[in-house]
Amino acid sequence: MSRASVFHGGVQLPPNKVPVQLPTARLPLQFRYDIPLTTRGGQYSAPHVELGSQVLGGELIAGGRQRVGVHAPTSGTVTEIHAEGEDRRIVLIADGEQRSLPPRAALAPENATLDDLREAGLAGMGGAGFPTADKLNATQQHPPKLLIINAVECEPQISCDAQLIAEDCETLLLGADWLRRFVGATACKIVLEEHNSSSKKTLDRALLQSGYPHLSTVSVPTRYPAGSERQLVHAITGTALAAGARPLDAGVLVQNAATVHALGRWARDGSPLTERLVTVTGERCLQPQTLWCAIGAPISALLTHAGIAPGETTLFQGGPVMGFALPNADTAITKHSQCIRLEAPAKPLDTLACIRCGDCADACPEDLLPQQLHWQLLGNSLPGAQAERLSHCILCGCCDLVCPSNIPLSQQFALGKSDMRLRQHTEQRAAKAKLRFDARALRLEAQERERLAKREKRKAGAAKPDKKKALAEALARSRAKKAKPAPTDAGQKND
Amino acid sequence: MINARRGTADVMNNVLLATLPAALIATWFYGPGIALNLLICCGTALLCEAAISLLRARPYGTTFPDHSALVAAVLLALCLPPLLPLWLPVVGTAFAIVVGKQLYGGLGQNPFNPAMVGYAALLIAFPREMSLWPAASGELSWGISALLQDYSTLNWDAISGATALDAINIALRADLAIPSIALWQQPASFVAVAWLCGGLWLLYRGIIGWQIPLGLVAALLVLSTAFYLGDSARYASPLTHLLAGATMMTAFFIATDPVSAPAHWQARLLYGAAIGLLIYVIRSWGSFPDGAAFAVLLMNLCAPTLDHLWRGRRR
Amino acid sequence: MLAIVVFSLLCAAAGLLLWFAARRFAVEGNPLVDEIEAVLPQTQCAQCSFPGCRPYAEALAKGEAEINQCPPGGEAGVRALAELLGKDVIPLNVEHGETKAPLLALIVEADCIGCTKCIQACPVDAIMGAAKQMHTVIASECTGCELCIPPCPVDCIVLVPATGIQP
Repeated sequence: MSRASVFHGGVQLPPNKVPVQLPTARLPLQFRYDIPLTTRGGQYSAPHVELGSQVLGGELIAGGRQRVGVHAPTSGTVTEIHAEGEDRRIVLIADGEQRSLPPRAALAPENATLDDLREAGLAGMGGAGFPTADKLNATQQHPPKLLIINAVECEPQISCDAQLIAEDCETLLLGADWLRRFVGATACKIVLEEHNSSSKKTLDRALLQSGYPHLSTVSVPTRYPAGSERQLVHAITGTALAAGARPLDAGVLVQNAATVHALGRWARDGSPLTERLVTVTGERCLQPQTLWCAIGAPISALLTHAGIAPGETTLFQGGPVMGFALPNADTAITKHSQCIRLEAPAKPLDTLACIRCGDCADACPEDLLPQQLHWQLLGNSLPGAQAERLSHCILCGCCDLVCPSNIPLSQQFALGKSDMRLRQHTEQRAAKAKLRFDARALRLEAQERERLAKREKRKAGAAKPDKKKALAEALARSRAKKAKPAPTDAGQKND
Repeated sequence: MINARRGTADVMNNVLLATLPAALIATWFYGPGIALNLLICCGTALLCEAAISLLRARPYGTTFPDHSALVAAVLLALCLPPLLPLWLPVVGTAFAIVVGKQLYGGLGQNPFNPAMVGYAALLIAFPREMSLWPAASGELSWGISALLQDYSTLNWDAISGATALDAINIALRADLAIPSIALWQQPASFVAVAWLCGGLWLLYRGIIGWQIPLGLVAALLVLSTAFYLGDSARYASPLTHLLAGATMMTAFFIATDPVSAPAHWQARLLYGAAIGLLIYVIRSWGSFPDGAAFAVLLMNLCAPTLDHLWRGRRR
Repeated sequence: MLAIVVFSLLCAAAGLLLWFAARRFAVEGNPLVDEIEAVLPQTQCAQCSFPGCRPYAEALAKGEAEINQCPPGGEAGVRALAELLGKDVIPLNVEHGETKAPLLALIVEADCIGCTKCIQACPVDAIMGAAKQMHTVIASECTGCELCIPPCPVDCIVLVPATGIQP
């Protein structure tokens, strides 16, 4: 029930939140669901069903070892399986009967394993989509002291978490305490933005009524990027994370509120992650709202539901800072689609030269000097950029927001970071190759020396007996060799 | 589209606005020659920008909206004496914009402060003309009549009055005790106060940081106080150093130019202090009465090194 | 007179300082070879006509080789060498080969007869196997130098594009 300390930098943005409307709307049943099999960069779940399989709602349709489970949002027939390439998905045609698997009894955290969480399909719903089980993996050896439930929606417009708390904060609290017990944390703090006082009130009231002595709520200042993991840990614990350190190194585990809510649901009755809250908003959206959407539902259906205003429209997924434009509405809702925005096309801004005014440095939450990074990267100097701590950039985009010259700084830094990774990769490989080459050269040299030494010894031994005898012996040897060629044992030579 | 930015043009406009008090006070004391200089410099700057845009085949519209050439022109104009031959401000501004800024690649690429490049060029090439400041009368009519006279026939001895720093410099070089100067009789003091007001407003608006002005003023104050206390007959008072010459203008308007200053706040503090030190050294032991322009240019040279030394440091 | 004394003393002081610096900061060996080697890609492919990256670096340091003989380093490599050695950037010498995307050698296991010839050719010991046993390439160690391809009597080694960074 306290106010958190403040991290450096950040940007004050107008919240423009979609107001919470109860009861929460739900996207009607769709005819077709394109259920994605991608979790995060290159990790795919393997299909468990065949073409024509009849599935029930909540049934596991894809997964695999160390892979996140994928479940059918409703009952129906599998009509397409795309298990190769980039865009892997299973297409389900709903039968309209909405039959589901029966619920199971509540599961205590002591009886659950990471594989259970993985099979439940849990993945970060805050935007990254990182498999929850993988994130919790490190807690097995190092249990965190503090669990932070991140309900800070610092990006403007998005209000999934506020809606979630208004509708079903009991399940959120259940999930939070379940997770706290699962990872062995002693305390759990649910973090909200200061302006979001109604959510805090709801949570505090629910906490008073229910018996969760280890749970509490905290507010952080409404300032982007307060919801970023590193900044959140800084704001709550009062100490900035060291460069490259993860929250767990400071004994803190940060989990997104929506993920924890999904976890709570699963812990209570075994229902897997098949739906999420999505905020539909934007200038061109007729009825901005936050509603339940099945994972795999087409975005076009969501848009039709919320209504599109006439005029030219650009479609975005995610908030106005970190979001990205979608080429069309044919894609499906994923586990990490927080927000779909319909915006009027933005006027492209003229980019001017950097005047090194330093506004970006004032806004940078990671204490970098973006103007210096910009300068180094303009000169294609990756080592220079690394010396200015390019790798510490969290790509929050604060510098873009304040730059008077409209320079797309974070875009440049993202490119620089990927170049940097590639370069480090090749450098590591080169170092390894050099090591192995040198080791091989040393070994060959030693072998050569050994061979020469042996020959010298033989020569010394052969010099003593008289020459005729030696000649006769040599002749005999060569005759014998011709008669029966000695096998060349190359393999032995190479050991 | 959300943003939290102020445009580059806004930044420059704010700086232009902040020069207004100094421009008005200088015009009041030194006559309309100042206003004429301002007009000539601004016109030349815009023409030079346009010419360079044409030469570099860049649309004029993409270089002009930043207003940075106007800032350089105004700052240069306010350093010039009012009764210069009219072609000198033209030469100075052209040098500042073309050599000082555009030849390095334009906005944001110049290692030196363009206004100071132009000023230093004029000071070295035309030392006599550049040091002829009229004794201020506070009468507009006088300034106008002086302007209308032929420059060569102007009776300089009749109208010129040595500025405070000139008098000090002459005394120092002649190994004499420095004259006592009544600061409130010096128009330069009032102009300095006007610069200070504009500078404080820029600080308040967040256009400039506090580090450079603080470092500069503090270093100058500490040094001048120390020497003044040691030998008040040979060294000018701290207040003289603050109010005479271009101290205030340099502290708030010239040294704070972010393009040619280092980025880290500690480096900026040091940068400001070094400029203050150089100003004092040049004034007390150099051959120029005021060393602000050279101090800034010398430290501009050091800015990349400072940036390098502060590379990768946390705030 | 005084001036002469002062300057002599100054000269002596400067000389001492230089002597001290030379002693204090002396560098063992030829640091240039190491610097050049750090720029080279360490593919050990010998396309430069030297038997590895180190020998090429030594030749470069002696001025016995041109900076454009390293195809795996590509244009960027030539630029880095030019900067390091203070030479002009010149186009890559096609006689030594062309720059390709990074490759990995892969032994078609069905065809391998276990002759160990590729094992002897590999400059970084990235092929495992024994006589009359099937060989295999350790993918994480292979530099894609192609030196194992000519010795193979049954042409069972193919090159596949390296997949880049593993997440």
